[in-house]
Amino acid sequence: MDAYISHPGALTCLGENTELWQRLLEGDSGLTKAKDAFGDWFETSDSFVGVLPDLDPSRSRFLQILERIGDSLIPQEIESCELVLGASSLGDLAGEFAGDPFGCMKHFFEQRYPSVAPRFKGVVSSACSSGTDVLSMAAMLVDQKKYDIVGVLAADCLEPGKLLQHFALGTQAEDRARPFDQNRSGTSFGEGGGFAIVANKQGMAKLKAALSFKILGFGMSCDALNITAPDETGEIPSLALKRALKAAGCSPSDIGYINAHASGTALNDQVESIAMRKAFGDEIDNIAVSGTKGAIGHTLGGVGLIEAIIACWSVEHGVAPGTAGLQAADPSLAVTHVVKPGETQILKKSVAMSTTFGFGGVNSSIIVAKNDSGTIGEKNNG
Amino acid sequence: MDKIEYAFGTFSTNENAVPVPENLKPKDVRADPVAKACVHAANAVIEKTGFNDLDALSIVVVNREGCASHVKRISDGIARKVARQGFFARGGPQTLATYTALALGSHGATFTLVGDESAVDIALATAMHMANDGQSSGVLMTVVAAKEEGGFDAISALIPAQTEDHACGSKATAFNNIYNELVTVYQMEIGS
Repeated sequence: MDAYISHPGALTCLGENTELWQRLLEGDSGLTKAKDAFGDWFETSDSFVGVLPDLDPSRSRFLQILERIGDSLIPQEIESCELVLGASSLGDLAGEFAGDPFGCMKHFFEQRYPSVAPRFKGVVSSACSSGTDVLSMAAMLVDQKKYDIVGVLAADCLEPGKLLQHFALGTQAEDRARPFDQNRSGTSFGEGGGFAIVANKQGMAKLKAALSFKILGFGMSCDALNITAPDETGEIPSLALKRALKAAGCSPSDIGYINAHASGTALNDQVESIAMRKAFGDEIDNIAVSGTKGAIGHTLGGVGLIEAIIACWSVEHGVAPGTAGLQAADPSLAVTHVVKPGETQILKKSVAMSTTFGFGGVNSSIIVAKNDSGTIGEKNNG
Repeated sequence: MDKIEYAFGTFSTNENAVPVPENLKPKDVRADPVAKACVHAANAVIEKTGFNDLDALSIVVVNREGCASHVKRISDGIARKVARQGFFARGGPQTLATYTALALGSHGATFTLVGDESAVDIALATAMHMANDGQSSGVLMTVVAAKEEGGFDAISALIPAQTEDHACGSKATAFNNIYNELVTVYQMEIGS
């Protein structure tokens, strides 16, 4: 694909950009107890969440997160974007923008970036895969030269009411997200977002930006089995990974790092490990695999872009962060060699895959590379 | 040059309660009405064309409001600190694409783009890219909108995968024709 990533930035409970990356490598976690974050709703809950500090409960939580992304992540180059796309799952569930992240993002751009607002044209909504999918959509649009420069903004918020729904569904952990752990009990929902510019070579030249990160390809599949639970065989989810490899022109041995969805729910990690084994075969044992939701929380519709950006930083620095929250890897999983918390792993290849699975059975996988990663993906460079 | 073959299916109702499509399983009958409208339009074009290469069919849906009916139930519940887990699980706009995939049994990509009329152009460009990327058997793109007076309009376009033998010499024309048809859903909404 003729698609590159420029100006990537991420905002989470663990900090933003350089601080976030350093703290990930150090094995820190930004999670806090629900009773400390939302005492009015969960007075006694020791379950951990990944919330941003000091948000005003009387205002739209989603809008405040967008404003923080505007303050700290969105560069002036957004003015050069010919199109801006958003990504989110549901955004606020109460107030003026309840269930309307498009309306909230539109308001944000009109208020903060009035000259850009007419170029903001939609929100990709694929539940927890939204952030991955907006990156893939932008890559397709610049690859076919419909646009040269596209801005992507993925974000979501965790209101106490939304957390209540996840407790009811059984997806929120009893304690904290422990991806791939034998005692995992769910994920730690959170909030935050990311921003990046996706451009083709012509667009990158217009931006005068270095060709740092290249999108090699993406793959998607839909389980089409259950609106909330994944395909337990891992067969359909593995199609997303296989399709990403094929689209990227990569063989399994080309991949140095997989930032897994690794939500920490019993079923997700089981299915995802099977999917990785099916897609990569025994080569999976030579690839660094980790999950970052134990550190930053599961940021819902924002997480796909945040974790794709973490994958970019990983190939940039040649190292994979550890899996915060993991204590003892589940021996029954098809993949057990995940990078331990507080540890890092040097990458053998400067190519990384980021994978997300969402409600409705949406499975998404995107492959990014450091731009000097040799001939990998070359046959697919158009 | 060969032309891209494409076809359309439509669904329209003035009722807010949309009948359950026959190919949704009993556990999926609680889909939001707007998702059911999507499935009906998709069924219409599949039935019309006899397209049967469903396994690798990709789905793209454009809509403005998302699952408004389900979101209202969730919001009302939250106001009383009551969990609405069934509605929550079915409240995301992604269900417009995923219920369509569930009904058809398709395992390709699923994209839902929420936006105004200009989102149709973006989504169609995405669909056309996927129809040419060699990984989908075709793309089914639906635009669905709530009518101001109640009910829904939905139009689905089936865009078969393009191959070297099935050249795309008239891609721009096809794009314009498909766009002009699909976007009428939003224009009907505005005009209603």
